[in-house]
Amino acid sequence: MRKLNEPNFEGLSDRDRATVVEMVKKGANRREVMAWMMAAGATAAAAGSVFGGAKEAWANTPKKGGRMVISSDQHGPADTLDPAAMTASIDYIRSRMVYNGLVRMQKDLSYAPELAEEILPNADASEWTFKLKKGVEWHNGKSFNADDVVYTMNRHLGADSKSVVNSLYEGVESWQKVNDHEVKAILKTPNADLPAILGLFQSKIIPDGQTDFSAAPGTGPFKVAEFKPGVRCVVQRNENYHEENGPYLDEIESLGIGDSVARVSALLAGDIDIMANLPPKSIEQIEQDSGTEVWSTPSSAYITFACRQDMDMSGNRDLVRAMQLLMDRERLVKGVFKGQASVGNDHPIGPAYFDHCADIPQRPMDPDQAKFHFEKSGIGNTPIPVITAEVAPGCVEMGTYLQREASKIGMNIDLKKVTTDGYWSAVWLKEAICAVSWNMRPTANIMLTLAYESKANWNETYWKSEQFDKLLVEVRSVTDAAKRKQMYCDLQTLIHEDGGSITPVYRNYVDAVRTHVKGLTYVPLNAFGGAECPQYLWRDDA
Amino acid sequence: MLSLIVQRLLIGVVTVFAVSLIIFICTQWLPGDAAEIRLGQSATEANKAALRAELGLDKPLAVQYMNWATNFLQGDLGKSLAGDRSISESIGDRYQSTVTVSVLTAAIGIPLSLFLGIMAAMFPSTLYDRILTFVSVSLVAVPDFFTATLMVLIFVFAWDAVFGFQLANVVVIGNTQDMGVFELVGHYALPIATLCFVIASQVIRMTRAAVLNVMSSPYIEMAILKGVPRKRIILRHALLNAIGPIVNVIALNLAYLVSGVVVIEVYFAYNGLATFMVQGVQQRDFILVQSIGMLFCATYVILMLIADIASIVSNPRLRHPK
Amino acid sequence: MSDFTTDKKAGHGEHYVRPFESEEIAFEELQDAAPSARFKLSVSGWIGAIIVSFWVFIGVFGPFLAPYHENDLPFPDDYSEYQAPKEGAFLGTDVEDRDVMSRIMYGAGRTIGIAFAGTVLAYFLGVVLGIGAAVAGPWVDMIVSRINDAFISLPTIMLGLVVVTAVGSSIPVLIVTAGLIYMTIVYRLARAIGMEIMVMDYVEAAKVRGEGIWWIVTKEIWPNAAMPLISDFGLRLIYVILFISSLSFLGMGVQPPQADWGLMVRENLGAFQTYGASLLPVVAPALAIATLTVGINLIVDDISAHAGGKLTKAM
Repeated sequence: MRKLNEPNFEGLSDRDRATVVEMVKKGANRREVMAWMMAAGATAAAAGSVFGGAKEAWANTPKKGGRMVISSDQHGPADTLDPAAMTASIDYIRSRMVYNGLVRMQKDLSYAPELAEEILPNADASEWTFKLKKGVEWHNGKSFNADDVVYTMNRHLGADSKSVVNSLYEGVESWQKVNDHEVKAILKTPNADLPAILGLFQSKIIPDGQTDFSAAPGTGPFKVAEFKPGVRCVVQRNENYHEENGPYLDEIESLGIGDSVARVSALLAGDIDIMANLPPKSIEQIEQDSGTEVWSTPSSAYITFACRQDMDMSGNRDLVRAMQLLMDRERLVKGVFKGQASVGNDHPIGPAYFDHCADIPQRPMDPDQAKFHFEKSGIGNTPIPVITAEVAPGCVEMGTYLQREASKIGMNIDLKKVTTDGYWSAVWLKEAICAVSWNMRPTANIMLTLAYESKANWNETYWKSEQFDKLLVEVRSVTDAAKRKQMYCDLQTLIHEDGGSITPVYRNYVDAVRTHVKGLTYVPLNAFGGAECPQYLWRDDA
Repeated sequence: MLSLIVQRLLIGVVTVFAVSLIIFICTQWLPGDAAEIRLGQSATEANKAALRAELGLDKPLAVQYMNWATNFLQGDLGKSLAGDRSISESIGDRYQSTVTVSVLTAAIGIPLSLFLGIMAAMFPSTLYDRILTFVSVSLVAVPDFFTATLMVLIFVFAWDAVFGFQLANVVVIGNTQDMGVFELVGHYALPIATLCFVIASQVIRMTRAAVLNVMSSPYIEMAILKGVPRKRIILRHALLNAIGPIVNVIALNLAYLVSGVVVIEVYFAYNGLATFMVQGVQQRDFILVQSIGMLFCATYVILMLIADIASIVSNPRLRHPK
Repeated sequence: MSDFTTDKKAGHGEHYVRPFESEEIAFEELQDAAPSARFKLSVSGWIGAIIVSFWVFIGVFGPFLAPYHENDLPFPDDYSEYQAPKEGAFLGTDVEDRDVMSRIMYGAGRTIGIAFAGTVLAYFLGVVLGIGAAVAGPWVDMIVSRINDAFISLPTIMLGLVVVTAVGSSIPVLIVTAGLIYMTIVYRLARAIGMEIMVMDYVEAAKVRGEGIWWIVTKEIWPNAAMPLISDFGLRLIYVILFISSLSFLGMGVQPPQADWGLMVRENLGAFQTYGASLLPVVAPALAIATLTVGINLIVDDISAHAGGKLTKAM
């Protein structure tokens, strides 16, 4: 209980606060700080509280220096520093070390300006003007300007673009340079989500004319010192960085350790400081070990069984419903994910989305109902092929759970586990029923447009609903909050009731760190706290 | 002798090219291609077509292979299909780990195994022999990733718990290119130790068998009947005649250390050539897989040649083949 | 008296095919080999036979004797994995809370069966081609041997990876893959032995007598080649088990939720990093592989002791 008139640490003036923190930093003890405070006229009790506050403030003040080793779960010859070609989380985190985007994504999924100082859409969001930050330099000393932005963005446009996010930029007509520090995007169709697309890792800004990415200059917090795909990448602090809050580390080495047992051993032994993708079974071990901590970023990434609705067996509504009713969601959350997930409700918009609909009743596990629907489906003991792969934690277990529960009601699931490489080209969108893992997207609309609109390239369930498509387009221009919420609820209910997805869980991104690692971020869009951390990382033992 | 070497080298070159063709055909058989894998989940058909055209994957297979072969013969290994880095550079990044581990493992493991194997042959059927044979048989059978896990438990975590420091790194981190030999041994201690176990169990058995085999030949039988001490027979006569098969085993083990240790490479996260080849398969990068496959094949051919020369030199009977 | 001594052929392990020289050893062994003589198992041979029979018995009847199905949960309401042995789960539970003992019993048949079938296939193909090459003359021999060399110079795990990636992993695929890969090694062995026998006096005599090639192969070559080949069979079997478990490590071997010993070791490795976990789920299948191997070796040693090297045995 602190009295209002009592001076506490937060209550000090900035200058006094800085002085006290400086004293603590230099090793002043409680008595010395109190003496200084009391000399300045404070009471003993007040002076004591100041010391505590200063210590805490100092503990939370980033320190410069030190080195960290970051391990992702995979790397290989395809590692790249070309943003437009990035597809793996090791690339994403490197992209955040070396480059900046026009905007950066934040914890609440809003965007903040990064290289763009001001972002000005016109009234219907069909033309966007970006005022660029001045005085930013590339790592090679050249100045950043509008040409760089236009060059970068044009790489994503056109049918022959080799950019992996080419399809997301379909709605953009062209990018135009207004002057050295202003660019304009002309859209074919209005889109209020353009900044979210600009926040993607693939949209980071590269220098005009850059084609060789073996040691690319960026504007980011770190400079590339060594880059060997599939071996290691070393970056060093950019002393000339254009933002105040970071970077703090001298050097970061990043690599991939494919085997999860080896990765956890390396973290426990202290060979690495940060690891991606902690296997849920090791969560308790990491928590119990005094040197390590779990780094969990709540998210609505999800895993699902996609049942093709355009095929005979997988399109059988009763079969889909029976399988949905068989999923032991609680068990998956507690058993497989050790609580680092939330129960899914057979639609893709989990609780981390702004537009999540909490009003849809949770579908329970109900073997009797499932049996009823399965018998109604008339499939009998014909084998039902289900394909899964370790594309995300839980995908394989989800298959085994389904197979086991199914056998109890006489459903014959023919489960096949295949390898992850080639999964997206050979299995996904082709096989009748397969496990799919989705990252979270910045908005519900992007997610639904990507995977549930009838004409979407990635409509993995081949589900077609005119009502859904109509609503999805309409909702983009709705500004009334209540109406918008209702419409998003309708969209989610449609998938929940009629869709071909069996979505038992929304999962967190679960990584782990050594305890000296500070400055973690929690953006729910990717592993490594959304990969936004490099600029802010610091060591409290530096 | 010289003509034998030349002949063998020529056959070797043919074999190496046969390997490249075999690999080319095999990789075409895999589902998907480099363009699809590279663009990932989100690729559209137009994107893929554009990338295929750039990588030359849209050409007929025969043309693709001939293009590659022509460049190869001109000394240009080409560019990886998975990333744009040149193959020779990528191999340069990784050969050092492989060489370090295989040379150090061989330098430590082989003399030790030879010694143990000869000791076993000297005292067959003794307790020592039986224990050694039993242990080496059991070790042959245990999957290498299990041995690796035990190594980590013992030398990192148990060691830390008992002595307060870790004897070795779990994974190989940092710039190993500038390290001295002792530092390298420290960094690569666990993979080297694990592989020593793997090859030791095999070399011990073979050494022992080879020596005992020579022991059963008539001239040794004669020596035994004449009452020459067993120790002397083995060290003076049997061992010399057993060099052929022993050298052969060593050569095969070296070839294995260079090319076959993918599980150990993955487990200790050092990026050697074997892992690189696996990644090449996963990325459908036939240029990369072919190059490394040929490198492995050439290593094998050369090691075998050296082994044969060694056995011919050590065994005069082989100098004049039938 | 020696049980472990004359395992010369044992040396012909995965990487030990002696490419240009195995003739010599084969020759020396064959001098003494009496084609059809019977032999007795030694004490350790009997121990080996008992161990192997035990596992074969489990392999055949395991699924009927196991307390649970390999994919069933003994304690469905308990969410914790790697449980220590207790009533209802004699060896504890594994990474997905399944009964370890039941999985070992189910896995026995699969592990031994795949290895046995793969090795038999490798022998069938290898022996037919190898003795065929020895008999057919220099040109056929030259071509087949060069192709064989090319395959043998590539890491086995690599070849396995390509085949499994291309056609997907299933038990028949694993058997055929292992069979084809290890065929290359058996081919060498069989060819070398065949070559050696072809120039033996009794074969020359048969040729002079005007016997047909088929008669020579079946009546003269095969009985003489059989012993050394059989003593190699046991080890080849073990290498196939290891090969499949290496594939499992890379996620390409027997596919979960099916049980296989190598896969069990692999999927439970995380026990070492799970707080309060029982280590039996890793150790038990590893021990199963080890005991099977030792058992096979004990038998192999007896066979190869019989196949040659009488002097060493006498010493």
